[in-house]
Amino acid sequence: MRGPVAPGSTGADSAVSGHTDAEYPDPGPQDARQAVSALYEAHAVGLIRLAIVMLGDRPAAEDVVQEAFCGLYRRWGQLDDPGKALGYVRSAVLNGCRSALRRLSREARSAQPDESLETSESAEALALVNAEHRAVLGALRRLPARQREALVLRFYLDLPEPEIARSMGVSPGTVKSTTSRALAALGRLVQEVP
Amino acid sequence: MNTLEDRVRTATQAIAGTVAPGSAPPLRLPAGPAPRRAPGRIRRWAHWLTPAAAALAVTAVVLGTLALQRGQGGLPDSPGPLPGGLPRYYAALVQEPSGPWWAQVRTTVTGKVLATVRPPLPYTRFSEVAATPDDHTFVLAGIGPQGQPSVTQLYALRVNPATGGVRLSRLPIPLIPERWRVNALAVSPDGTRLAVALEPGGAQRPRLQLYSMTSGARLREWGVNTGRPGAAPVVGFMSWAADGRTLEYSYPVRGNGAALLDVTRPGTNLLGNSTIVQFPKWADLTYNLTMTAGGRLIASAAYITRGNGTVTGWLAGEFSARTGKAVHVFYRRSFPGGHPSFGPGTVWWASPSGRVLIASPARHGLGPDQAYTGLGVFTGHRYIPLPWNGRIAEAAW
Repeated sequence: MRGPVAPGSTGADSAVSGHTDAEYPDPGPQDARQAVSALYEAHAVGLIRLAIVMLGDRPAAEDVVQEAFCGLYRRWGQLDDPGKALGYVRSAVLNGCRSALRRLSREARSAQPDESLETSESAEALALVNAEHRAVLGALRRLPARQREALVLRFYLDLPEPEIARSMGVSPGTVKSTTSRALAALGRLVQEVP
Repeated sequence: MNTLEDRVRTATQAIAGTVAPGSAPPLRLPAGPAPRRAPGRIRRWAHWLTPAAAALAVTAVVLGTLALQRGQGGLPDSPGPLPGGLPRYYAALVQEPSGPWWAQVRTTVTGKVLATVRPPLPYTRFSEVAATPDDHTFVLAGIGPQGQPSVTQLYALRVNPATGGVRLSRLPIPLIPERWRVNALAVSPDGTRLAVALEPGGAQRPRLQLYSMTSGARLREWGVNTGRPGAAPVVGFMSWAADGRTLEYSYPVRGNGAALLDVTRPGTNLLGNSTIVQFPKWADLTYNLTMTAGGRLIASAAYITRGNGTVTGWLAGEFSARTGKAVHVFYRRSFPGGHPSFGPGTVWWASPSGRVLIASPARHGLGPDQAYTGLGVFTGHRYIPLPWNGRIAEAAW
């Protein structure tokens, strides 16, 4: 329960089933709830920013971050070290972004002409940045998800290669080669953008 | 000239900068307890189970999705989040053949009835229902007694996620006196306040009141201070933004519009304290709205009309809370030539981002008392039907 609903209610009526308040125990480990909520307070905006860089879409970014924290909450008891929670949730956000990109790609392929009158949130977000940024971001969106991720972690978050490797679940060598290929591809794509 | 690396840095920082500090929506953790597990490393042999577990998980997801698409359940009813953050339960007002409206608690995915609830005497039926943010507590308005001027008692109906049992208890809010009908209810995002829209029965004007759910104290009241008494339009549905200060209410201002009330502004003039949102003329949205928790956009299902009022289709989409214009359409279905007996549906619930909706796309006719044709989840451009009962008149998630 996220907020008090009616602790002051009289509870005098028994028209339903005769259940008592004793059947509504405390929802459980408040420490996990509090810890995850505190982590969210501290890092939600940063992670939404990371997700919007990956996805270019604010609502989708918020959903991915929300899901990542719910996942962290569900697995809180399995964490060896709560100090690693941020790393866990950042990886979960990146995984969520990959899934969202795959889904968006499928939806874009299957969208009917009848369904296309919307102006997407991503367009609204892009409208807030200048033409040069739009060109780079547009090119970034056309990269494969893994290449995009490598560039975002390297140049947006300024993470060192070992940490990028951990976040992406690959070797540092793969990070190097992926980043290199991504930059080359991005250079070509930026040239193509009018 | 900047290097390509610098250009990536500045461009990514620019789009990241569109997310303002403090603008994250509230975190919505599952209502149930977090799984307890003794700390410690997973045994080495357990890693061999991972591929098998993954295969089983994929199978479960596929089977679950197929079952969901058939509207036969298949997703767990046990405590835990549903895909897309869908609430597990909803409360519905069901019209019995003999007339009175009972409340039913149902599971979202399977439609299974957990309990049928009748109001305690002397109240004879429920007239309105609203959901609280915890996804298993609801507010009901019970009216009675029969044959006399009716008063309204407000109740909390709680579902025990562990057992599926339900319990009804009176809220400490004073009785709503005779001559006033509760037209809409909405619980604030923190679960502490209840907005009540009242329709007058006599020479009064509509009112909107805000009560403390814990003490029952009336915190605020707004009224319509202009127009002929008894002729002013009434508030229909209401929904809150996550900030807890913006209350969207459906009110046929200037024809096809809605209003956003800032509950923190001083004053008692309902319209004076509200921002009016005007919708496009091609869609009748006024009574079919809900506000996303983010409060930026309004998600809606609507029917599309042409000049003569012919229904030419329906859609589920998001509309700008600032301009009223459509900014995203989730699902759209057209009826070339029009559909003469199709009424507007409604959006019952929207995820914080507005990207996942629970909605009834349409009614069997144009009148507000016509039954909804069905229920489903809109996600992406897909509509996944859910079980529905045609006798359900109102529902709340």
